[in-house]
Amino acid sequence: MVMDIEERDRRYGLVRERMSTQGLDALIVIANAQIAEKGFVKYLTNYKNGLNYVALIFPCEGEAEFLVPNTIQEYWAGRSSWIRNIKVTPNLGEGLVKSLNAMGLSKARLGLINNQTISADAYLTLVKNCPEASVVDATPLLEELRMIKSSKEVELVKKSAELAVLSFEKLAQVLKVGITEREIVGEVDRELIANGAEDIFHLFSSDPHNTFAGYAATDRVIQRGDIVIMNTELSSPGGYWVQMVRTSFVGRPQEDVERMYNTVLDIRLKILDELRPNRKMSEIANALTDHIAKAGYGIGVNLGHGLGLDLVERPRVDSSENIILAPGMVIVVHPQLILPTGKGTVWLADSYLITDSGAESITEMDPLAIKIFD
Amino acid sequence: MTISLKERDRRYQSFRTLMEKEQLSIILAASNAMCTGHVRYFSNYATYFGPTYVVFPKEENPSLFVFGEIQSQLASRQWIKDSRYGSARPEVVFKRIKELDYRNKRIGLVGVDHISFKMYEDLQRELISATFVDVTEDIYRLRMIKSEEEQESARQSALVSDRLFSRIKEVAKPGMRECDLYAEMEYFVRRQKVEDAFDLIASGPFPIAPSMNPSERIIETNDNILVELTPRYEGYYTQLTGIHSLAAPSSRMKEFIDIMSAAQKTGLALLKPGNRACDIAMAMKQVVEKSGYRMPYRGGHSMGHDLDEPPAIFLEDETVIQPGMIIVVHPSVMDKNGEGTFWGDSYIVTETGWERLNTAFSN
Repeated sequence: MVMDIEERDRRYGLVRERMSTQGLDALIVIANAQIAEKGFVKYLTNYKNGLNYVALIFPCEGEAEFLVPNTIQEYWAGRSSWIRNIKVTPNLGEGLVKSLNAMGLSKARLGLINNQTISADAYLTLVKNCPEASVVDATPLLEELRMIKSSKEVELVKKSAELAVLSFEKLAQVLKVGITEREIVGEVDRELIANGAEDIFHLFSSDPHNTFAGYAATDRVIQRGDIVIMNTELSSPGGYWVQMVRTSFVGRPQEDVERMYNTVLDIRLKILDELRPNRKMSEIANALTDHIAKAGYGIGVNLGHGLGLDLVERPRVDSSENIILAPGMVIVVHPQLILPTGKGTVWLADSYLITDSGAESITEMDPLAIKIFD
Repeated sequence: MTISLKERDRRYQSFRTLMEKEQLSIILAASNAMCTGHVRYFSNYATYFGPTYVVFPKEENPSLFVFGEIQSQLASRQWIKDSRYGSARPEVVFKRIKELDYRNKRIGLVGVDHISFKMYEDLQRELISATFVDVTEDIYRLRMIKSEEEQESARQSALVSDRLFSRIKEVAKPGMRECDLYAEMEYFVRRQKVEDAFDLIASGPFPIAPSMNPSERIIETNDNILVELTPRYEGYYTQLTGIHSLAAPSSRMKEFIDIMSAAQKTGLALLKPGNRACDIAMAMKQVVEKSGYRMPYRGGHSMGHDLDEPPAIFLEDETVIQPGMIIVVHPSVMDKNGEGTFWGDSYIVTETGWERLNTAFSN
């Protein structure tokens, strides 16, 4: 985590302003160890937690307190976080009660982020022992701020994007008949880690009849006729996630698959047209869905989502998302098309930065450059 | 090798016995994304992302709720055919429960330490006539004692960490960055038959706090490299925490290693049925403190479907050690300047003592 204190002060200023407006005395921000849901705590502490729960008590005035579950995390949070007061608390609920009392916040109005990350256990302990505190959900307060990336954040996002591109450059070097899926991902990840990738998550598929990419690379051996799909999601030392997907063919693809691939290339061009500030996300999602349906294909996974310190953030690319696009948002759009017969799929994804006038793809690699392997 | 249907039936019988005893009509097991053990124990499926749930009725077939359509299809190939996209979709879970006999009945809840407050609150509201009974401890007690099959998976997991440790010794060289070494480690792991591995690394004269995210620090000629290796084989974790010295260890490092070796030996002498987890922790702590240092971390913990499960080897845990437990014993030592180190390896508790799973320290 490499963000500087100017950015910290920018964030803290905005957060406290909103807390004041909303009458919140303190935020309680919880992260569990879900690999891609550590963002709220990261945003305010510059620290990515390891295993188990961590909690930040962030008052409107005065010093924050950071609760960590063990001495190893106390060590790392001490070295890399913005928070000076770090407490080791193996039991989250008890730790929250103790700190709130010590900070004079046991009867305060507390904004919790959020009731989906905190365990039932911890929440019940908190409200039982601080019965005069009022606890409300404050997720939108941070969600809204996190959606728009500052120029410093964009720099870090782009570092992740470079690594995502590297994963496909490596794929292109190693992909051949006879190698296994597991070996491919091994080579790719070795390259990524040596170049600074932190958290890495792949979905992978090579069987041409699959309609989805699986959650783990297998021992399946690559052969002619395969449709190789690799999804790379990763974060780099800034902590920002990006996503990129490419589809490659081992030998010339079948006609119907090639037609489908050409459609997804068209959609990729269309995406750049559609992504513009001041447009409602749902309109864009509907336009893309219509295009796919008109072309006669099924849709696999959802169309995409925001990216940032978490892997999946607002805005979602779907027909119920009313958020208006704005410069500084980072979004992945990932159309996955399925043959009408249900026997084959192609998938492409790029991450985009919304600019003042439109959008720029930050994961720059022409899909055609790795389309066919002979 | 895979966990057999016989093992499934053994577990399901235990759940039904518990349900009989506690008069439960349904068990609802909840996991979060990091600690997936409860749901794994019921379903034999390795979930990704979360939260996840299992609805286990007394008479009918169970249902599994995971993240995404892809996973619901993958999961249905394991023990629970009825697998649905229900992660962060509580209405999908409630719909299933409402098809069952829940009105005015008792529902056993497994995982109050992992279930989100929102889900907990929604459950109370949606299933208003049901009484929720916390049976988390009962399931942990079942999970604590591993069957023969489970123990065999643990043995395989330990073999992988031994091989990985050997590989680290082969490739670690001064001049490499930590992240280069970590890249080689992960390259090795990706090509083993393990589901995943949670690996940490630290390097320096007295490395004590290993990290998930290795730095660009350049490894030096006299460095010690501390690695914590935790692979998962067919759902079972074991842990090996080892130190590889690139040169002959300094006399201070030798002193730390000797203290930890003595502490672990003392702990292992007490690792047998009938003693308590806290007894082992206390004995190791005393060895370290008699040498003038402190033990900053817990002395170890059990592992299984989660890489950290009860019982834990620390002073607050009075659980009695029993045959079939799988435990990593890892004492640590730290001086007042924050320098020190730690190590440990994994054991299956037997009727009379233990079976060592790792051979990495036999030299």
